Amino acid sequence: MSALSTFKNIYFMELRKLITYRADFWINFLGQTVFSILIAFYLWTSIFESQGVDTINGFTLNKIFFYYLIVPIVFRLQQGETIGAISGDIYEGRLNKFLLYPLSFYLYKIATYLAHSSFFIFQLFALTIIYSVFFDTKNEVNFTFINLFLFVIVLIVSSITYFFLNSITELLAFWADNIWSLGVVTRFMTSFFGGAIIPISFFPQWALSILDYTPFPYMINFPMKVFFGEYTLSTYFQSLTILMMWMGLFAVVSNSIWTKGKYQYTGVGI
Amino acid sequence: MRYIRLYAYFLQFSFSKAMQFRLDFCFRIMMDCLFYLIQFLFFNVLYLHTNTLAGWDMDQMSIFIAGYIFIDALHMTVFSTNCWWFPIYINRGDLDYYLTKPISTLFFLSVREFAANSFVNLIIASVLLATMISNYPGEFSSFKIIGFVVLLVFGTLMYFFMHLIFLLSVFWSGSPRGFSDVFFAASHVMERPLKIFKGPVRFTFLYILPFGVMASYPASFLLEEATWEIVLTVVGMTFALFCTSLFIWNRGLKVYSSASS
Repeated sequence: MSALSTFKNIYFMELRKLITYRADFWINFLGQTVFSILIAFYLWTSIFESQGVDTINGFTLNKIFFYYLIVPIVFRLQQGETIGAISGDIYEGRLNKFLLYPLSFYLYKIATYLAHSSFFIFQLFALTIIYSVFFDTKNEVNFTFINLFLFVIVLIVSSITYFFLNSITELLAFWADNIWSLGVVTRFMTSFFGGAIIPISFFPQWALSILDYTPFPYMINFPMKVFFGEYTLSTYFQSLTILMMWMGLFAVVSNSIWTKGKYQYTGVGI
Repeated sequence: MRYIRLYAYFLQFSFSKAMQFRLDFCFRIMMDCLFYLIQFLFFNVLYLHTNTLAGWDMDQMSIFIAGYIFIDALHMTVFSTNCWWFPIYINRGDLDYYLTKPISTLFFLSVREFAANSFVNLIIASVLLATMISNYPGEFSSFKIIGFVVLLVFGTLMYFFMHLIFLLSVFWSGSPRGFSDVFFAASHVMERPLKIFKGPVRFTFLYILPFGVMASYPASFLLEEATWEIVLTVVGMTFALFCTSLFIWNRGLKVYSSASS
């Protein structure tokens, strides 16, 4: 069986597992969306009203509302599986099977990770369509096939980048007794410095200059810019290249930790 | 008295367990400190674009932020780990073991694990709160400061009861985490001043899902007029949530079907 076919089988197997709790999934999705939107709407309405302006930092109220509708899903999509997807295997001795399977550990884990991620793509497009039907989005988003295609590419690359970044902390479980909080730290950093909590264009210029040297803006702010069509082909490919370089770097670090770590593994769980 | 003695044992076990996982102990402190930093950074960035938010300037907002950080730290220390295990016990049927114990199962499962590592963060959060109050340009009476802290403790209890209510849905849904994702999304309401919400949404966050009361009302007590209305609302809502969670717990136990749940 080719690697691609194995990948496809694992991916669909994980998707089937995920749709077991459909009602739970949709209630959580609707709940998260409603609260996230309500909080953003009232917070920013209050700011726009107190300033008496129509635009702040290039954002109209309508655009910022749309931003906060989409960004939590982009963030969740990028997060894939929950924290503990790899460290749990190490602690509980489930890693044994991966060492025996005739397939790459990373292939298996990326397939399951992307299955979790792709679950959110349906939500993303459902919300975008619903919002576009009820609200005027002509000034905010230019929906074209090429835009959506480039957006999906960025989402896949940023998800895999986050997978490798997260795997670095997860694999420290070979040595550390509990790494859950490290995973949360990675999540906090990505969400705030990437633009999931507030668009990073609101940050002062000096902070943006520093952030340019980190992977975070490329993981959330960049996909959001592509979604809103705020890019040229040259800036798109430049940012995508930088994102892929970060992905490569995280993959190399992750792989070297895996190579060293598996010799620490006792196979009995903690 | 029996419950106090039991809680003292829980504390002993929790501290000795935390000392076995020293690295995690440090990681958790780091994690919470980063969370606190991000909360302040977020509002600092907002205040670059506005002078007031919900009628509060940055000094007043800093006290509000420190207030909800204190609630979060107290909840993380006393209840959070227990909340994590709650749906797992119900789903796996592990609840059987606890139901047979000669004490209140809800009490046992709610406070059994004291997060000793988060206790350090509770100290940090308390220092942060004290610093924000002492750095405030105006002056507060001792009555107001004590009232503020007491109301924050009530806010923590409200936060815990709300968390419990969302988690107990697992009795009926059988899902792995209950509606905890919805809870965490809703809990961000606590991190915004209630005054920004208007109309029916404000009513909802005040009386139905009272996340807007937990930190905003104690902050209003300190920063604005200290009224009995604030005190009664906070205490009354805490009691109402306690009764609601107890009611749902009892109803849930009736549908609990052990290992096959």
